[in-house]
Amino acid sequence: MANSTLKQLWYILSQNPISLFAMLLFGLFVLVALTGWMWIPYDPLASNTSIALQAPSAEHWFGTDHLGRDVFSRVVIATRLDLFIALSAVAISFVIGSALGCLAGYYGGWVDRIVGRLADTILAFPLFVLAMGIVAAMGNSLINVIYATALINIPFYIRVARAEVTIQRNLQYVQAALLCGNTHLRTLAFHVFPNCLPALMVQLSLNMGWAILNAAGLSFIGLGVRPPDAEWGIMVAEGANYIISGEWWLALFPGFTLMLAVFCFNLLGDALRDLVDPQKRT
Amino acid sequence: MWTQKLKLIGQRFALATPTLLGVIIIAFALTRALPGDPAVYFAGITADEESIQQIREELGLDKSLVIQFFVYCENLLKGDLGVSLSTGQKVSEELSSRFPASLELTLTGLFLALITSIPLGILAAMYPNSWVDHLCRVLVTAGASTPIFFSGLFFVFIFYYLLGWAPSPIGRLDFIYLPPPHVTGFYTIDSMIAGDTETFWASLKQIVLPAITLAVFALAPIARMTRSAMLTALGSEYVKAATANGLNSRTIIFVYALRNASLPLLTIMGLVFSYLLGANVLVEKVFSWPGIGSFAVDALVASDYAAVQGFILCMALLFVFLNLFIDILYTLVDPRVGIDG
Repeated sequence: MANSTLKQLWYILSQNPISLFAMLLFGLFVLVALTGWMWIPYDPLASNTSIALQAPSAEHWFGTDHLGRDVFSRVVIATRLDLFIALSAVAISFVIGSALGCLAGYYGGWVDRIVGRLADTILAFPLFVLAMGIVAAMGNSLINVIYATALINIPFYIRVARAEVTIQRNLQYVQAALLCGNTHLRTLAFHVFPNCLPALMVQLSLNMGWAILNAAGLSFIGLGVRPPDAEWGIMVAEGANYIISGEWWLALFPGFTLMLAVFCFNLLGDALRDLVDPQKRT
Repeated sequence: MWTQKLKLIGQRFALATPTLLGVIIIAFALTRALPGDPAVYFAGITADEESIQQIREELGLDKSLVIQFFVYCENLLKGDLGVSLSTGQKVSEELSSRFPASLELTLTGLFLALITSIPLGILAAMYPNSWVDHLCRVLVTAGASTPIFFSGLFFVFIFYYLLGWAPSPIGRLDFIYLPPPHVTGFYTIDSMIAGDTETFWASLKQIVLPAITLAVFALAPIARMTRSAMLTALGSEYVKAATANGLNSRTIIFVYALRNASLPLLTIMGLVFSYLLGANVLVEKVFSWPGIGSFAVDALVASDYAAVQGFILCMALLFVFLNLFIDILYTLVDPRVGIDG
């Protein structure tokens, strides 16, 4: 089974060089996030106003910002924070959303109605605006940005998990598991849930890009990450004031990196969907 | 059949009521979830114990949560959203004076997105793997991956700084022009009504870049959905039957396929609006557009909670009504609705 999945993965990757590219790019991002602090050329927080606003050069690849900090080092070091925010937010919404969705799909009835109503109420808000409101109400901090991003993504996991479980629970292996003496909860957790994982994983990787975008959007308007910490969204915000006077490198490099990261996750999600469900290919 | 449809529309209204209630409850919960004591916030930094207590009574914070909720709903019905700390004006007035600016921008962006993405999606579905299809795919992928604040800044850099085609991103109108007399609140329309072509062009120039930024963003999901819905429709039995009966291709595409493809398209419009209203906040910030989004961002930075909460409630109510509108439209468009129901 595992071998054939790997084979199929390899087939898809070799058929679709863009997916292979996305895979490599993802590896690169992870590598940069893990090892970036070891090889960045300058201290990302050290300001030196005598070299402020220098254009990209051999010494400063991405130029320097308004405080003379090296933009390249800051973009590299921000990778870890951005991926951390997105990963933890997506992990929280995956756990809560899929648990609620599984319960709703398996038990139906009032559990389903309450969970469904919860998802509908969250989706009744424009999601980014709701995230703004949550961070404003709970306090402007990084952890609240993560919670807010997690909360607005929960409904999507609920829907996917619920839809999958509703199909799976009528299959015969569920009856077999119950007849063997498994309790309902155990059957759900160890028999039904693993069979819903592929669909959930697709949702998860499609969600990563949107989580990064959302978190960067929040920090762009001044929520969450505080200066002088390096994060792509806040770096674009800091560079925004210099765009109209022509110092493009402050905002463009972090913005472009952010775009590349989101692009990479979206491509990966598409590739994963092709692997799991070739019919949904658009 | 029409009475059936009217009944269904009534049901949609009824279904929107619990959602509306949920939205109001969450908005209320957000106002009461402020870190620490809201009275201390609203009283300001220099307040002493006595004035804090006074504010607490004024805001009704000494009463139970249930009573507070009813007071909140009562104020809401009166259109009272509290007073903005940073401007000293009523939040409802601040929002309603800025609302036309946001609406003008959002509608222009949506309009641009619709007139480009739907033909693009149709062409991509008609000629799969042609250059139109590839263009569609590239635009969809790029639109879904680009942070909207970044694409906005990028456009400013290219079209204002490098090429000098666009005016500087300083809001709805350059300082040298006076806003046209208020009729609709849309500067482009108002200046036309006033017969002031110069102001019209000036305001049009200001809105082009932010509207395109929004359009590029909204284009992606619409084009993607149009393409896949049209592909499904064009591959269906009824299109084959229509082709076999010798109907011309224009009738097949626009009457048979597009009308059926418009249903999934309407379904996704809810999500598009959700994204668009959020993206609007970021675009307004980038282009210093004086709408409710940039008002909310400024209020956020200034810890002006009444203003932020008023904004969120406003957006949520707007979104609920937009969704209701889409639902009703869906009921009207779908010929199957009402026959078996």
